Amino acid sequence: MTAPAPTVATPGAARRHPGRSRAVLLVPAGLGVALVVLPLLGLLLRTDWGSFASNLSAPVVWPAIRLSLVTTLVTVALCFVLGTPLAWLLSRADGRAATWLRAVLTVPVVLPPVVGGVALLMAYGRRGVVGAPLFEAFGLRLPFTPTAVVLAQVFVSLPFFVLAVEGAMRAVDARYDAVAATLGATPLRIFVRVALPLAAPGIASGAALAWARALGEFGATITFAGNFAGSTQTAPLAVYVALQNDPQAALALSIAMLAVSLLVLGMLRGRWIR
Amino acid sequence: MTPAALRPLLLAAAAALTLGACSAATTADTTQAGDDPTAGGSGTVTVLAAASLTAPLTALAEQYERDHPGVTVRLSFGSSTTLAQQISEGAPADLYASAGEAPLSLLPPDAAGDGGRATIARNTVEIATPPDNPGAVADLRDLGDPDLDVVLCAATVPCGKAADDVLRTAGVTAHVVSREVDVKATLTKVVLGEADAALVYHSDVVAAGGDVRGVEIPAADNVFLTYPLLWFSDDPDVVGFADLVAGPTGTAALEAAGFLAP
Amino acid sequence: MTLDARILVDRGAVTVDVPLAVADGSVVAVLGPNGAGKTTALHALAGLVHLRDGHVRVDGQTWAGPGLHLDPAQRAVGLLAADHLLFPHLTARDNVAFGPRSRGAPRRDAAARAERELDALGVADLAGRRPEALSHGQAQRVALARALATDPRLLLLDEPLSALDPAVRPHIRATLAARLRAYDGVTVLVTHDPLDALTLADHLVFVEDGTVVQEGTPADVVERPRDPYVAHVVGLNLYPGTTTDGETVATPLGPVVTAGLGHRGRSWVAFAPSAVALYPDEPHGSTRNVWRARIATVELVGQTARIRLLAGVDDVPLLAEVTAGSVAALRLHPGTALWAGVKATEVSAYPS
Repeated sequence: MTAPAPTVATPGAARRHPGRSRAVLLVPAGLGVALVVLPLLGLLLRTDWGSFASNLSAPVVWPAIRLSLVTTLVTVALCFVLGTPLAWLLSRADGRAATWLRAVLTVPVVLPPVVGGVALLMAYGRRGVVGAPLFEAFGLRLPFTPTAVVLAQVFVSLPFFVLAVEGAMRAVDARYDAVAATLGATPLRIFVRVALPLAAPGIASGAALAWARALGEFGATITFAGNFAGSTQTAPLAVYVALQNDPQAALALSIAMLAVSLLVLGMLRGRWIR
Repeated sequence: MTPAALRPLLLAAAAALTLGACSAATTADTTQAGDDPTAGGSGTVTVLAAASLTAPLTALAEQYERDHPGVTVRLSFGSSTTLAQQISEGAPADLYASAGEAPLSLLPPDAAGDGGRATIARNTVEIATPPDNPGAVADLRDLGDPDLDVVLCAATVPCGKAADDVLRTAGVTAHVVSREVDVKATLTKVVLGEADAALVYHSDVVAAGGDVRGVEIPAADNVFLTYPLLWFSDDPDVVGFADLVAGPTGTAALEAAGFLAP
Repeated sequence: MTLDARILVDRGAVTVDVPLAVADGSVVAVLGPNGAGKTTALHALAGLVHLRDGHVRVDGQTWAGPGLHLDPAQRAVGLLAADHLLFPHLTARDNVAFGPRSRGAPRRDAAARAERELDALGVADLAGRRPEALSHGQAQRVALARALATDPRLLLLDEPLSALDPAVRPHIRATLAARLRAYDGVTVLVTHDPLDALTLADHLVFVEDGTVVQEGTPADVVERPRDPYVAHVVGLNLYPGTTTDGETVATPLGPVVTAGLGHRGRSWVAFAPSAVALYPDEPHGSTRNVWRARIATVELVGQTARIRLLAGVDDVPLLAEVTAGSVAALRLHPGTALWAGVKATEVSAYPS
């Protein structure tokens, strides 16, 4: 439109100046950054760093972090074991059933977590569809146990995992499947030796996404699993409860979670978050 | 739209819902435009009150607005502790009604200002069981049965403190499986039959209607919770609403909701 | 006869119906334009596509037939496509060993077999490399080694050279030809490159719109094409026609005098582009077949010029090949009107 060499200024040239139009974009962009960064800064600024260590050793903190780490790791492992084959089958299916299954699996993603917790109670609660027979036959009660915490986390994070991994599996050229099949590989061997390695980066990011979702899980957990220190009180629940009588312990716990989250984000840098 | 194109959208929606589900306090705004805005005062009275007072205070606010056209009573309900913290962080409030005296310590020392204080109600602790009472709970000692699942409010909220006090006084170690964040969550576990018993306030049992059955605790073992009302200014409508709540009309409304007279 | 197949598959609007009968150790090339159904036929042989009807029998064993479909893994096939499709996360050796491992060979035997196959194709020194570190030509040889490492009875080559740089293509073609000579199974080669077909195959099958239009040995097909596409592929002018006297055939080009064919009725007339002579003015002499013509395009290939003409009363396409020198001398360029002639002795004619 305009030559790079300096020429006689034309009317309107100033308005089209690239620097100015970039400034127009910088304002909303900067506001967006502020909206995200300010609360995090607030967390750091309002923390009483002098007593941070003692706050971190408050009795509520360590059991909550330990429970969160254990349950989220089990959740991610379950997502991998159950979700990867599911994602693989979905990525290679085109029928109407697959479309419906995909839609159903997406529901927990858009469902308010508290509603998810109620749904879990209706299924696995002591009077639930699955829970009642379990309770009557074996005296097995799922709510108020760490198992319930894991169930709640799997419910909310498995869809994230499957959606992410299915995308990665879909990107694996289906002709590799065909070649592997002509070489004598069974579907299981194709899955293990071809699809898994080729989709590994996608699986890693899916696992990270699922883990992050599980770590932050609040609504479904508190509704379905309850809140008891040591057995079902995960870190987010502990933060919420501690906020009412020991805000500094809540802040310390929040900072600890923030640190763990940053650590994971750092590990994913260059792979998932470019 | 392809599933791939949909994915980021879904993730964004999910993130929004995750955040939304964590809001702690519910705000009921009974704002009603007067028939004739020039007919009376045009003040707004802001009330922060314990969640258990939702039903009676909402009714009283509507009555006050009817009697004083042009005046708006804004109500915000939540955990007493959370509300006290919000006030100390500078949240605007003309009146504050707390469940128990303890949260008052979180208010700034000079909060009372030109206002005043009254006790508007009392409450007692009661055992709530599912309507069919599957654990056959008859008194407080039964809560120690390890076959029964008992849920209590978290120790950080008034109903949790009161439950702990009652159990300590009675010398009962209950088989507690969960400390729920508020009284509603506690009752929900009982209503759904996941828990055999909960310790809540009598007013909560009344509010739950037929969804739970109440098992009374003798006064000797029980603790009483008082409900102080604080107002922070001498504005006529603020004082007027305080008088209504603390007066006979207020007491009647509170008693109908399962509270005891102060 | 070790491959005996009739492939009947619906592929969109096209129904592919290709019978194939190939003996051990021989190579059959399936030729056809894009979309003719060649690759579909190949995938049906591999078991990647189900037959609607027909059968696939190899060494007397039925792989597919009415109510029967063996999965690819159950068939002794090897598949090589235009893209090498080597597994990017495995070394060349592990790629080649993948087949034997999948078919139950112990790790060490599979690795040894891989080394042998790579060596046979001259790429043993690349065994430890990942596909990303291989050139296209090297990768394609590794892929061929992989396809052969499972001792397939049926080797399926799908445009094996088409993705290669033209500069390396002759070399890889030679390697492939040498390796196929040593292979005792049946090879089915799908290609649209006549050079691949003529240099690698013993038998050619031409497929158009899903059906076979001509088949035969390369010599037979080159000499007597019976289909315009086949004629195009082998580079001959071909016209259908009828003869009543066994010497002159009435074609769209006009009457064509031939060397004689001892046959009456419907016939094909074929002659090479190089047999076509071009004259600025109407020639008088021994040339019996002469048509008015107009130049459509001129294309130079080395010292040869390929001239596409529209000839005769009805502007029928006619291909001529002359030296580059005559292009300059006769000032041949699109639009030039001239005369084209072919001697009767250069015209071959055969019954259709």
